Amino acid sequence: MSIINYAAKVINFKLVYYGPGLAGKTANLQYVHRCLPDENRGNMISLATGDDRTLFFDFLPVSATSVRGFTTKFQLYTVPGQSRYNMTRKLVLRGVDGVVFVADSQLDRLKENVDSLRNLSDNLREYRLDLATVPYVVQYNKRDLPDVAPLDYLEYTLNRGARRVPAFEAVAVTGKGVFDTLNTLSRMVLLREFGQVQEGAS
Amino acid sequence: MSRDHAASILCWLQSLGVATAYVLISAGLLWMDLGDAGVAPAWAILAVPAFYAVVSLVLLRRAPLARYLRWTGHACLTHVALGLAAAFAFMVVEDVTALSALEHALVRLGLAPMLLLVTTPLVLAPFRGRGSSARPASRPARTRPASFAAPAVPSEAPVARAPRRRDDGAEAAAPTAPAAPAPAAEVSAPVVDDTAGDDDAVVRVRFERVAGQLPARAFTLPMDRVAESLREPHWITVPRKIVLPMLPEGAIQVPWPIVASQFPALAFAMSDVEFRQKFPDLKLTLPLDDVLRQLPPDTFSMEPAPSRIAGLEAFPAPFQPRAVPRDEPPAPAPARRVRAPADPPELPPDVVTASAPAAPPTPVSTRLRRATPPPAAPVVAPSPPPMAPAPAIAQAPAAARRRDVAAEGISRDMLTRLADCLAGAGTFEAWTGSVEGTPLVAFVAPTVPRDAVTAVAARVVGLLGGAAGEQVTVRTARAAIVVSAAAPTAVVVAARRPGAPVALLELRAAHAAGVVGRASEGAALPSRALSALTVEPRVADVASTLGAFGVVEPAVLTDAGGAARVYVFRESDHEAEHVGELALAVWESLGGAPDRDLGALVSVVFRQGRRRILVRPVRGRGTALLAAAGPVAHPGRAWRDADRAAAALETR
Repeated sequence: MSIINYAAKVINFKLVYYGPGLAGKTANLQYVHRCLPDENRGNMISLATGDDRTLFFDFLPVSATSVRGFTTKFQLYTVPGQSRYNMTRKLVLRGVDGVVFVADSQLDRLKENVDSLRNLSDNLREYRLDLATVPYVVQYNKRDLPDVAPLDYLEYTLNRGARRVPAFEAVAVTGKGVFDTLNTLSRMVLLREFGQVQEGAS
Repeated sequence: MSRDHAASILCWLQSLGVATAYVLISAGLLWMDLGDAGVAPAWAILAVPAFYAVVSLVLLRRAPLARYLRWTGHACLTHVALGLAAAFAFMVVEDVTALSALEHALVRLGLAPMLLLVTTPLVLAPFRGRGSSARPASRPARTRPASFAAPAVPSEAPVARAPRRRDDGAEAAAPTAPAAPAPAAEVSAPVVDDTAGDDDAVVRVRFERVAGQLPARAFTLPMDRVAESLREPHWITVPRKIVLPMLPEGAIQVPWPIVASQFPALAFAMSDVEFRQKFPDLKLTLPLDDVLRQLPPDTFSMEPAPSRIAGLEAFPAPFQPRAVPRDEPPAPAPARRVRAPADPPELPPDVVTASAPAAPPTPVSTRLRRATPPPAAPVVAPSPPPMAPAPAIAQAPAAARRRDVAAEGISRDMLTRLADCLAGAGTFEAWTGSVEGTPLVAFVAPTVPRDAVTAVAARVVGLLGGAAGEQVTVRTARAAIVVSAAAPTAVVVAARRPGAPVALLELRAAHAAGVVGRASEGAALPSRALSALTVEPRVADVASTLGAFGVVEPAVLTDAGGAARVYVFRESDHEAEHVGELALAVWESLGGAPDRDLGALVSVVFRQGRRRILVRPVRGRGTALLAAAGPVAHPGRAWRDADRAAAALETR
């Protein structure tokens, strides 16, 4: 749920990058952090284990456009992808406004993608949320690797729910698709918050 | 009783029933004196095995010769046994001699011997696939629920037909695709039937790609021979109807009974029943790339994803990236101003303790738009970054006040700023001073002996600078010590291991060193006379295991006395001698006499940007060291690679 500070005219949204371990969630945030102008980005916090796996979560506050006189700020979170950290994932999902599901395109990681997506659905349900209603996009990451699944099969396994959602091919380490994903989800969140008629965007 | 055991008993009961029926009918024929046309000629005795051999050719198609012979042998034995049973029955029904009864049962030209030829294959039929014939009919097997919140696999998906083929062992009959993949709904088991499914479309997978998943000890033949003796040599076939329902799961895991019939019985080191008991959950995961290639192109056709969402265009893209991304890695937590202590002049300058995170100020006016509870950040520690912990300065023990502070020691304000950099990485006691003439500022976890840490730091700080790097991490059995070059004093952070977040400590320590000031270039290492030895193939092989360091070339160096040997793996454009000299310097400084409090030396890692030089001892006779150098993107993987490489060198 968005947090609105009427005194400061600031509205905060929480976006969560979800997906299996080593799918590239942290890489997404790192690229966003590297590419945003200083005035739009805060400090990225990342706590990783020795083998570069996210131990707790990553956090990156970014500010964006102004809508209806409110400065919109987005808090980007990732979750630890490993299955044993489900409690942390649940906590990070609390109050979520939008979700990016980062899928690993490699053929041998597809089952983990499916399991993670199922886990996302289960965890959202605990907050009485549903992928059919929450602003949500899918990112097929690591498209530059040789052993990746065809796009139609990825769509078939990960994006054939009641609602088809926008999906993006990405190579997070080089930035391909990172901002397309983020901008689309941000706009979906804004659309949901402010409705169809939008005034004063700047 | 297990399902397989019950099935085995059922087979025996079926056979016994057929045999009993034969005996009763034969006895009835004899009692009614029907169908006796005299004694068969002597050569007829040869006709019986020949007859069964022909029958085996019909029943066992594409089986090895041994299997034909074995089935024929079993049939002959069964033939004799049934004949003896019938003869016994004849003696009971009619008052005839044993010889006469045997004649009637086996060698008379009558209905009873003819009936015996038919009965024998029927008696053996229930055992087909259990040792003497094809692999068995399957047991029902469970599959996972079909999918997560997604439409069903299109059962009407166009399916290419495989050539019709009739096999004895029976292709598995495919289950019907589950109609709706309601989450957590069990799908009915695929039932394999010997008589069905022979005209199904199939997916073929090279046996070699799944052979590794089979328990080799369960086979008498090596896997390459098993591959040759498959029903379709070198290929495993799976009905497409079985594959399709598994596609939404992202993995095709085929239960063993589905493919069991394709393996020759002679290949197994145990009976089928034993095999299933030992490996009840055996599944073969088929390579997805092979499977997907064989599916019709429109198998996954769906409505296209929405290219636009109504109303979205009203909002401009919120984020506009810079044209050129920064090269810098993500910055650690920002240094925050420390809360001023209540009475600063009372506090000693040499002890700073990172405290629990301070709560962030409450927004002046924060309320929810939808009248729901605040979407609090996760409540487990450590707290989210906006609440970056601010260390508070704590009262030092009286003893600490008596410590020597280096004359050139850094100011209290600087000490506080350094502690701020380490916020959230643990609790440390700060100390500044000089050890063996080396000025240090140290942040040491309370459970780690400070004197031992500073002694180690003083010894390695001289190695920093130049190509060795700006930071070095020493791991011992009980501590992780991060030493960062800075001027006027090096920064040392130490924590207990295992358990310390070493990567985080390195990041924070580097940030702290940046606050202190940039160090000048270090002194060059003293030159040594190192001799290069011939690189054996086994050492060259180890180079390939150090993938985290990029492409590295091996070299083996030894010192002048030949007492120490260094296995160097470095980039092709770097000199092995420099890395070797560094490794020996490290060993002389730290490795010779392990500290009692810190434990034995585990590894030393020098960092210069992304380039790392990892030095660790190799167990064995004499002094042997592994030194790997190269650009490292994944430090954890590099550490593990080096561990494996050292293990490989140890065992040879």
